[in-house]
Parts: sequence; structure tokens; C-alpha cells
Amino acid sequence: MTRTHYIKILISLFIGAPLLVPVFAMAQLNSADINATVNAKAEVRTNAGTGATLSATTTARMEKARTKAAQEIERRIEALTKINARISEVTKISDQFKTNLNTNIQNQITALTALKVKIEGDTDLNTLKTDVQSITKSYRVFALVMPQTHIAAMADRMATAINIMIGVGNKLQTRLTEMQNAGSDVSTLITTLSDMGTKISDAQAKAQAAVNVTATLVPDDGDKEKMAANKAALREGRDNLNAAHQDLVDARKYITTILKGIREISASASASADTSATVETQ
Amino acid sequence: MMKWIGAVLIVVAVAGVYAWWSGMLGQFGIAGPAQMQNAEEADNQAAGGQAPASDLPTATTDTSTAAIEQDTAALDVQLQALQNDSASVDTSLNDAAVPQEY
Repeated sequence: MTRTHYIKILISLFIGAPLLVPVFAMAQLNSADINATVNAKAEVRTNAGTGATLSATTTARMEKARTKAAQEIERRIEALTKINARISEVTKISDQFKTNLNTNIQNQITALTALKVKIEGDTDLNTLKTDVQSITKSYRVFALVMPQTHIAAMADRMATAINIMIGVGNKLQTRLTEMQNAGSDVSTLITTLSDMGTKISDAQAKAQAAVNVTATLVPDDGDKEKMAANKAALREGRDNLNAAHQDLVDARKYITTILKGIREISASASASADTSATVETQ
Repeated sequence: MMKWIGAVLIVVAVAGVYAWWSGMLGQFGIAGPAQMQNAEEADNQAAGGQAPASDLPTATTDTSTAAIEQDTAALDVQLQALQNDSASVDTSLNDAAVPQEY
């Protein structure tokens, strides 16, 4: 190797070295990044352990379950309290039936209140799960007691309306008899009064049927056939009450017709009396 | 002799007081404490709603047009309330439980 060769090698090294430095630097940097990432992941896994992550998820699930359960329990307690206040005012259904309804409602309120307290205090997921499931299971009692009580309350009010209607019917009967005895033709109005009586009797029978078909129903305790039978009976009770209500609405229209007829006949009789008096005076 | 007469009078008097107290004389129109209590109970029962009370807002004997109109106004209130009752029955029949999560 001549001197010229040595000089060329030296010049090449002098020029190429700065170009190679970044390559080494980058290689080092990449290596550091990888190590840092690996270390960081390792560190994360070490610091936040698997058990801690599961616990946080479970707590969140339990909290969500508690909130939903509380909402449903409060909704039911509110509805039961409201219908209990309503049923305490009824006067026409039998004392025994009223007592039974009141007892059932109170038992439901007590059970739901206790369940709510238990769920709030549950610390174990499985226990909470069982308690929350019992809300769904107990719904069948709620689904029976509520319509059963509403039907009884409606039948009670219907009995009051029927009593008023019978009272009005008796008064109209007296008035029509008086007018008939005085010589007025009230035959059409008497027929209307008779139709009114038929509607009232029909309403009374249907209201009674609604109570009869629903009063003795008991919770199905998971029996699907019994559940279907209960539902059918409740719907039958509801349909009877709606039909009875329509009868009373029709009967109310007859009252308007009869009153209008009484006024017209009275006005006509009064006008005739006035004319007679005028003729006699002349 | 006088002693015997006195004893008989005392026995008769004691028996009379007992009969009055127990109400045995009631059948003769004399009311003892036992009967008066029964009469009070009867009054209380009547006042307590045992007898069917009229739901009319006016006297059952008042057949004037004004009274009948007042009665029908009370009837209209009940019919309107029945409409609300019917809606409540429907709501309770169509009620659905809020789905639960766990």
C-alpha cells in the first residue's frame, strides 16, 4: 500500500464518520424506546394487578344493579301506597274483602321495603344477584294485587253511582206518577224510565260479576297456567266494569230525556192553565 | 211474728233490686241499666252506618226539579271519576316490570 492509499482511507473516514453517527444514535434510541415501552408495560401490569381491575368492574356492576333495583322497588311502593289510600276510602265492598286487599298491599310494601334495605347492604355479587332476581319473581304478586285492587275500587265507586241513580229514578217515578194523576200523558217518559231501570240493573249485575271474578284470585307462585287464568279473570273483571260504566252513561242520558220531558209537559200544562184563566176572565 | 214479716220484706226488696238491675223488668216497660246499655249500643250501631245510607246529596223525599238536578250533578262527578278509575285499571293491567341487571 502506497502513501496515496493511506491518504485516501483517512479522507474517507473523515468524511463518512459524521454520516454514520446518526445511524448509531437512531439504533440506540430505538433500542431505548423498546426497552422503555416494555418496562412501562411491565410496570403497568405490576402496579395495577388483575385482581384490582376485576374488583372495580364488579363494584360498578353492583352499583348499577342496585340503582335499577331501587328504581323498580320505589315505583312499586309508590303505586301500592297510592292504591292503599284509595281502598281505605271505599265503603261499598265487604269489610272482609277490604281487609284482605289492605293486608295484601301492606305485606307487599313491607316485603319490598325490606328487600330494598337488603339490596342496599349487599356486598357479595351472588347475593345481590339473588335479591335482584327476587324483584322480578315478586312482580307477579304486584301484577295481581294492583289490578285486583283497582277493580275493587272502581266497583265500589260504581255502587255509589248506582245508588244515586236509583235515588234519582225513584224521584222521577214520583214526579211522573203525580203528573199522570193530574191528567198529563207521560207514557213515553215512563217507558224511558223503565229503560233506565234496566240499564241500572244491568250495571249492578256486571259490577258484582267483576268483583266476584277477581276477589278470590291468589298469586300464581310461578304456575304459568294459574298466571294465565289470573290474567284472564282480571281482564274479564275490567271488561265487566267498562260495560257497567257504559250502562250508567246510557242511563244518565235517560235522566236528561225524562227531565226535559217533565219540563216541557209542565210548561205546556202551565200555559194551558194560563189560557183557561184568561178565557174565564174575559 | 214481726221478725218474719221484716225478713220477707227484706228478701222481696233484694229480689226486686236484683230484677231491676238485671233488666228483667224490661218486659213491663221499665228500663234497667242493662237495657239502657243495649239501647245505647243500638243507637251507636245505627249512627255507625249499619243502616244503608243514601248517597244522594239531597233528601230522598225532595222530588223537586232543583233537587233532582243537584243529585244528577253528584252523579256526573261519580261518572267522571269512573272514567279515571277505568284508566287506572287499564294501566295496572298493562304494567310491565322494569328489567333488572346484575
